[in-house]
Amino acid sequence: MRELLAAPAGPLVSGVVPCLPTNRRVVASVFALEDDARCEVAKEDYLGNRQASQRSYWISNLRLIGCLLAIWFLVSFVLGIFLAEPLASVRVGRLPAGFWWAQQGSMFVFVILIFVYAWRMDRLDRSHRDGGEADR
Amino acid sequence: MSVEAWTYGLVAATFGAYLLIGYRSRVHTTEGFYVAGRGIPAIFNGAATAADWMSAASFISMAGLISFMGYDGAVYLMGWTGGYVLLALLLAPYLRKFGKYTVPDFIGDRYGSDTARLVAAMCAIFISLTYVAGQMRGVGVVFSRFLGVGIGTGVLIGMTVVAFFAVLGGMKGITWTQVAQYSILILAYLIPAVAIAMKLTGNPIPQLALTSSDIAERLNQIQLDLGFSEYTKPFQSKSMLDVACITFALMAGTAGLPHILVRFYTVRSVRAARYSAGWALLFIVLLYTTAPAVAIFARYNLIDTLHDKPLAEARALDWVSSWEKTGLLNLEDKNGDGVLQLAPEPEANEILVDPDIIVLSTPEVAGLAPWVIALVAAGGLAAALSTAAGLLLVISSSIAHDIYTKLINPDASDAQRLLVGRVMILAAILVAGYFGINPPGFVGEVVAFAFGLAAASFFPVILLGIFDKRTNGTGAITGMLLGLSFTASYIIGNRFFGMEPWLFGISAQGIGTVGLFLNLLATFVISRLTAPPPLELQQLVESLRAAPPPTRHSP
Repeated sequence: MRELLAAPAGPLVSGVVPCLPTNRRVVASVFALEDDARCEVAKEDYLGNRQASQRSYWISNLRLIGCLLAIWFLVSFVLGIFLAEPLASVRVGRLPAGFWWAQQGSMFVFVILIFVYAWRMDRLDRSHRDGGEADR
Repeated sequence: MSVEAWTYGLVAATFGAYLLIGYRSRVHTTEGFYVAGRGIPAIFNGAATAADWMSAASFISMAGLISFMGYDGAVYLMGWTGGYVLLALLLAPYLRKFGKYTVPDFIGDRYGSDTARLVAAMCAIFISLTYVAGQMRGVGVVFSRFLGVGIGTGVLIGMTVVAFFAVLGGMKGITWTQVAQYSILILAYLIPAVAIAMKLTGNPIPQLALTSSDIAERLNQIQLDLGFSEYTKPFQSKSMLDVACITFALMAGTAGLPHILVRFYTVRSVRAARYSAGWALLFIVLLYTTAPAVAIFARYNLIDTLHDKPLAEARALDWVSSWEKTGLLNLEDKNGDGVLQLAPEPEANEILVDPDIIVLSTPEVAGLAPWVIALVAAGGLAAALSTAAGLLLVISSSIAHDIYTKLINPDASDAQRLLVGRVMILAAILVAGYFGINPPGFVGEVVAFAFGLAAASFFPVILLGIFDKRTNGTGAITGMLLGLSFTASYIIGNRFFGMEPWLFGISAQGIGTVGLFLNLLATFVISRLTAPPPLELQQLVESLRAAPPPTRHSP
């Protein structure tokens, strides 16, 4: 719990001025050796970048989830259920397409979706590690 | 060697293996007992989750149910697999990042409320208890059919084995035995499926045989000739809306079932949690895409073997006489012409088949070797025992961790907490065993309950707890209670008091979908009408959303 809370907070409510993190002491100590004026500027930059990076990480994550869930909905509910009757005349192999999506195809796609998510998130994690590109 | 000798040998060997694994993974800390020391590699957690998930119902009953429902059986296939996409994208990585022991832990901490924790713990206990009773029953049924011992004795043997590895090894013992149980149950499912696919279509891969051969067309034609509707025709037993609602309720329920959610606490990192959900679904889909193929093959084979056959000739078949003895297969020459007919009308139908025998009888119908039949028995036991063990751990941790340690005695030492955990899992086994031997008449009905309640309670509250920072304890508790009471009253009214499914004809199985949206709406609106959650809880949510720290191991 302690180390979880130590992570700086992002904007609390979207549209409202972002709140400063509570662990200023820790962040400030990073800059303790620098002279006061530069320290203040650097600290603001550091915090701003961290928050911006965390925000963009979260938004990229949400966008990815949205895309994958759209495919999830398409293969199961749209192709497998809502269009099952009209798709009866189309064939996958020798099965009616609606039946195939409902009892075979949708499940294969589900597996692929999860692995795609894990793989894309690996890449996203790497690009945002330790607060973002600005920290490198 | 006879079938019975093979079965005794295989069951004894697998049980011995479970005991050995359990002994070798015994634990001495609460971290080991509840979350296997958070050291399970992703692929093994995937296999354990798959075994945890696939119960006696998936293994024994599902293909049979589908073969009688045709297209409409898809609700189980999509519902029980699609939920893993929700789980992997929306819940599992964040629960791992949160990194405690149980689902009520998350709800209690995120909403800063002991009331929420208690409501969640009670839900978890109720859901898991109803579920586990069915598993113990499954163990008893397999024992009585294949080994000729009484159901009660079978349940007792099963209880003893589970008690040994669960009490000694907790989550760690359960996880590693589940990995072994997955291997056995998947082999036991695939070998007969491959054999019957080969026999009927000449293609050994059931999924390909189903798609590329003319077996479905042949079955459709036979069904039409006999006066049934086509097997692949949608919405014969349920409306489109009901199919969609049931599918969604099963999906959300799957993602909200506590014994699946806790598995993601046991891996090493957030990254491992994401991959392990993928492995879990891959392992599950191996069985779930085979099941619809088995369903069609078995139905075709059954009609082909029994329809228009003289009664005496049918009874001369070994498997027909042995299944007729169990009462699960009934042959009756109603019109007295000495020949069996399958018909859609119950008064003219002369072949009555219980869905449960479809999987269990496939190896015999296909004329496979005795050791395959024995393997199916061992597989059924593995499926039932692995699910039971996971559920028992949830019951134990809900009482010992969420209620005793968190609410009654927060100062308990690690040794005390471990002891209470072990005692509770033993108590849960005794209760489950009791219900397995004396099943309440409504076990079947209660499955709709478990999924409906998980969908209407846990799923929305965990989801909003991560994705909506503004959601507060008042909103979450109101939402959970509203979702639960609506869903429970609709199911109870419909199943026990003959209430019509008044809401657009949505059945008891599908009503969880409506409960879920009621819960989401109530939680969302009430949270915005009341004070925002305190700063520290908002920061907790922020920390769950942040990129995870780097990991040095492969998932």
